[in-house]
Amino acid sequence: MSKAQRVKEVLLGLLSIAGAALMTLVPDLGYALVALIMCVSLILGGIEKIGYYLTMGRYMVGGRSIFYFGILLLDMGILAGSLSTTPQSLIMIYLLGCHLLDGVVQVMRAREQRGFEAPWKLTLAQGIANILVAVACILFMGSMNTVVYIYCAGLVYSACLRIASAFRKTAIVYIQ
Amino acid sequence: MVDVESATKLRRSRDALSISGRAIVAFGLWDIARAFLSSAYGSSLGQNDEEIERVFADFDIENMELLAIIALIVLVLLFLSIFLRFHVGLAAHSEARGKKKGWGYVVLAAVMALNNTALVIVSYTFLFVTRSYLSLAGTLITSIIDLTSIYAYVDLIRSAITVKRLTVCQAEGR
Amino acid sequence: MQEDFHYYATYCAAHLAGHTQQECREISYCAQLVDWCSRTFLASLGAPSSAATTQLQLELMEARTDLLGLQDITRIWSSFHFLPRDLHADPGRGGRHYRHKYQLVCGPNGDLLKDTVELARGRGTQAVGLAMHVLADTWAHQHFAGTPSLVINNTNNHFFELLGEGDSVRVRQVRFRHNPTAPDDLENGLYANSIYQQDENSIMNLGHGRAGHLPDYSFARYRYLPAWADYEEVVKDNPSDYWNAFCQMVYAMRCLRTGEPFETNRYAQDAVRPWEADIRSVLGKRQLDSCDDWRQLGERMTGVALDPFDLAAYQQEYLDAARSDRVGTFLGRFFVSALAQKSMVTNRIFRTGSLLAGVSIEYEEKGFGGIKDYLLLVRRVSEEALHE
Repeated sequence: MSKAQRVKEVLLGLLSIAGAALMTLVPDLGYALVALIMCVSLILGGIEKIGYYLTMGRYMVGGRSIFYFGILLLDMGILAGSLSTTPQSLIMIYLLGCHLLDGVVQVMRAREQRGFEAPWKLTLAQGIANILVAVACILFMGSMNTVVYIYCAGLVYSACLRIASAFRKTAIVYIQ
Repeated sequence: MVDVESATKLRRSRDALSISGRAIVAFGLWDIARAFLSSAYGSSLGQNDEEIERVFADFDIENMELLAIIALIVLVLLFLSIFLRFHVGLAAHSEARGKKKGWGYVVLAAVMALNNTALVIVSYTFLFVTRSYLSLAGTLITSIIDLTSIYAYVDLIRSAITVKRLTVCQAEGR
Repeated sequence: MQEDFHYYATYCAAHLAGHTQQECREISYCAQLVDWCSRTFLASLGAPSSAATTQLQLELMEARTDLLGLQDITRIWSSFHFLPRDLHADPGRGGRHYRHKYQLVCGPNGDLLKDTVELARGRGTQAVGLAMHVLADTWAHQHFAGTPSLVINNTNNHFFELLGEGDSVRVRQVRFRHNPTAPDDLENGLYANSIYQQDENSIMNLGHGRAGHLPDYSFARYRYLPAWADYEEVVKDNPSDYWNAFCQMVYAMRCLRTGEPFETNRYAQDAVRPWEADIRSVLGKRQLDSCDDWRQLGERMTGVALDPFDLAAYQQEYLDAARSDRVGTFLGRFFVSALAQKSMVTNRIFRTGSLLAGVSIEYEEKGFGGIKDYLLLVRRVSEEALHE
């Protein structure tokens, strides 16, 4: 990773943490922001897919489906942005799915690590935490604030990982 | 004995036919979802709420009945359009998988492509004629799917012709 | 490839190449160890994690697919399981990024194979075993790349198995299902593969995941459309490819043992011919696992009973040794060989201008930099120089 990339990763991480803090302090604004982020993500996702098709996907067997999918995503994002209210349940389902999948994978990995007598407790703890977050999503489905808090927790976690990876040594040495 | 180049071309065309068929079906399904979401949660795309309220305030009972009939016709046309899209898309996908299909769906695809083209031209012409430039952004955005649909129809027609031609050649052993 | 070929077939090949009984066991053990040496395994031994030669299913599921994660995945898989055939191949279309991915497509008899075999010269049975694993996989895993890439590694439903031989070949559609726990159903042509994911960098698009285990079955003959091949059909004849892999392993190990330089596109068919019928019979037998057949063949070849692969075989020696002496143990030498192979392949990829496998620092020009695990390599090279 170059120095510029490391600085960018750290800055993005700090920005994400700041954003999460702001959204937690003002939940109403936070919910609108979460909805806006979803809309922008869809639009950017659509543009990304179309860009991917133009640069790489069109050389692939069956690649044109990527283009059509990108157009659909773009249109979904535009519609989401134009709606007067974004259904809270949709956002909750998205968060629930992400945390549940992460949690289950981590628990299974912890079992495997235990089989190899490798360190496993931290992985198990992370898995359980993710599953508990998913359960919280279900229990508090009707609460707007919970949507924001769960989203912010995910934001902070990925920001910490991003900052940590910026300090990892990455190059490997080659010897004749 | 089928030569390698023709076989490759046939595979390519069949795949393109299948993908464009599925795209047309997907766009049809999305149209239904978009119509539902827009009506349930309200869409502000290209609309000015105050203007709409002012227009509806001038409507009397007779006009409301006319409006209801127009709305019903629009709904029927919407479902007809979706049904035709499903038919075209599924027929294309079926032919791509090797089932023999007639030319009906190809002709229908051509008609729908022309229809979509006409709609896009009309909406932009209306925009410029009435000088409703506030709606320009909304029109541009809603025409993304329309233009892509036209592209999908053209791709479908081109691929279908190639598949049919090469399949006949293959059967004749050319 | 699976344990039947990497462990048992390599054992047979080592014997035919003229190695002693003990050397055959060590080489075959190390060839199979490449499929087990994951970060989880290394962590359990307190060994350097950069020596990982594979990633377990669950490690892959958890692997990050950011820039660093992708480079790490590519380093492992391209170095040990999907050795690129031609790093200067030109697909004739696409931009730089597409070209770099295309250049990672695996295949036999590339320049990197020669470098891999020569890297093992004079470095013990551990390096030889590792090199043989890499060599064998270039035959089985050809047409796929050791980097997550939808545009290179994807497959579609145009996938047909060729059953029977000669004039009685029957074509059957391969049906894939996404159930990694259920065994493949050979009778009905039902195979597990990875789920289609449109994300270019998804783990599901790594290697031959989209083709399931078919490349790893020695009996399988099939035809399909590789994603990069522009609708040209590829016919994969595993019995023939595995036969070539076996003969080439014998040739390579003979070269390493006798000092003869290794050349690509050469096979020791003369040494293998007395056993050809038996080997082809095992390769062509339609079964999920040929370990028993290969083991019996190996015992007939050598006249000695062959123990099954035991992952724990050399672990105690490693754990009992003092930290400073671990590099001299059996596993220690394997780990250093793994670091050397990874370092070499990463350097070759980096020199083409591609960052897919990460950054490589030329030690002689710039000294040591980067991941500390590679200090072990520096020490080995210093010791070898001192020894000379």
